[in-house]
Amino acid sequence: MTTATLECSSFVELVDLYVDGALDPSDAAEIEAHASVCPHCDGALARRLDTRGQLQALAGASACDAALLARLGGALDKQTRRRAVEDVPRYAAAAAVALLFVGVGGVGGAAMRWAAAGVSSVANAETAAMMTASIQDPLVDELVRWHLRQIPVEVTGPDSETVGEWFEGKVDFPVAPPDFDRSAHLLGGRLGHVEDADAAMLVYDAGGAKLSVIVFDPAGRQLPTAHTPDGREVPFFVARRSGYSIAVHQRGGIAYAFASELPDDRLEALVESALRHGLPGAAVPAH
Amino acid sequence: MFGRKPRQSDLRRRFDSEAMVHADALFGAALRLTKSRRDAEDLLQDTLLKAFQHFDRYEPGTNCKAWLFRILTNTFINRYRKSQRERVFLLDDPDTKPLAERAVARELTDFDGPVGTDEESIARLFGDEIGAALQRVPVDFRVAVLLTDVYDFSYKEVAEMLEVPIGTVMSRLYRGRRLLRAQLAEYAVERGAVREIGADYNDQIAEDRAKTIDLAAYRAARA
Ligand SMILES: [Zn+2]
Repeated sequence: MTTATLECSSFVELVDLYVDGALDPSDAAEIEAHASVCPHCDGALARRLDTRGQLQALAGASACDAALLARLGGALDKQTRRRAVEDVPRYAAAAAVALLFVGVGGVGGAAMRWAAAGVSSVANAETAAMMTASIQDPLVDELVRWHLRQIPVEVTGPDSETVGEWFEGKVDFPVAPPDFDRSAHLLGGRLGHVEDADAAMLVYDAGGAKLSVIVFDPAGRQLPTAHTPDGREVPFFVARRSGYSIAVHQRGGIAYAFASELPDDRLEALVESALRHGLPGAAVPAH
Repeated sequence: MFGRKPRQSDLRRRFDSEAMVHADALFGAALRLTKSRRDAEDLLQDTLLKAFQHFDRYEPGTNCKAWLFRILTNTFINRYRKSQRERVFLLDDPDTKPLAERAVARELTDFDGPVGTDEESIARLFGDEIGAALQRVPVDFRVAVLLTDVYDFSYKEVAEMLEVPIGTVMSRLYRGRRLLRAQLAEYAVERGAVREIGADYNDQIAEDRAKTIDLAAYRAARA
């Protein structure tokens, strides 16, 4: 026979845990033993179980009526349609990324651009003129891979002229490291490849985040034609892959890929600042 | 051609089958948290839209109900805090306490909630005394009781939802329950169900004032 060793004050302290099944078996047994000999505490336990039962009954007490369900369905439908516009590339086949052309109202460098999965300002897509194009998947992947590689530079910054001159004779296009005002600092550069073609790989420190600029000759590669449906040129497009943003600017036979884990808007601001300062090849139309 | 319609409708179908099945439970919780049916409907809609927006981040096979309740309570609490601050601001007095502190102090005052709202009277009229009593428990405690006792989430799940330690969940839960029982006892006295406000009621109040459980201290004292 169990002897009740518990004080009433201890019972009160433990009874909630008992009701929740949170006591270990020996403590639970003490609670039960005490309740069996103390009518006062037994009553306290009964009240708790009763309240608990009433509360549990509330769980099934409310249901959405037809009007509410219709309203919720309508709101979800609207969002489903919006997401269909925003998220196309998120579900694109592995072989090719479908790009969404988005006209973001307003002026400025990025007023019209190419955008792909996850680009924040695609929220404006509802009002945007749209068309689709495609970019070869391997190229974006390769650019991201290059960005992620931790390999030593062959020429060090921060002097962009020194770095640019180092590439002379090594690649068959002029290399002028972009100037990002004071938002990013040139750490250095090295020779690399983009799909077998020589490329200049430049590394910057953008406020603690790595920014890679890959300069290459896109000849023969399928970059999206950077034009709006009405024939205007767009300065760059942005693609997103595995959490990295890639902005590609192409003119005059030279392509500049900017890769970073920075948020899209910061990357865009950096690219726009580089474009303001001018990039070799930028003055010559591509076609 | 780009496969977007089928993909989106796939996601939506999954949402309908995995998330929408909890709509009734979510609505029930929204009704207990807010002060009107209209607010509850708005809260439910915001919760579901938010959930659908982030549904690609929800891992299939994990606890969808817990994930949805987390969104619901956070949406509610954020909005509630905001409206409380606004209200305190409107009632501003020359008190020197900072605004935020006063907002919290106000929230933590027992039964300093909506007193005798229409919803509450109606609820009691239809016999939903427990619901009416719950409505009078201050928000932080009510949320703990609602999630644990009504919707059967574990201390741990509630702690994760509210991003507070388990001990905090437990103390809020026990305090919420005490307040709830005291409120129910008051109703019982009011309607004459308890003729004698004698031993039983007074004992209960005394018992309800007992300090919050500290199991470790209890065990240490016994050892
Ligand atoms: Zn006792």
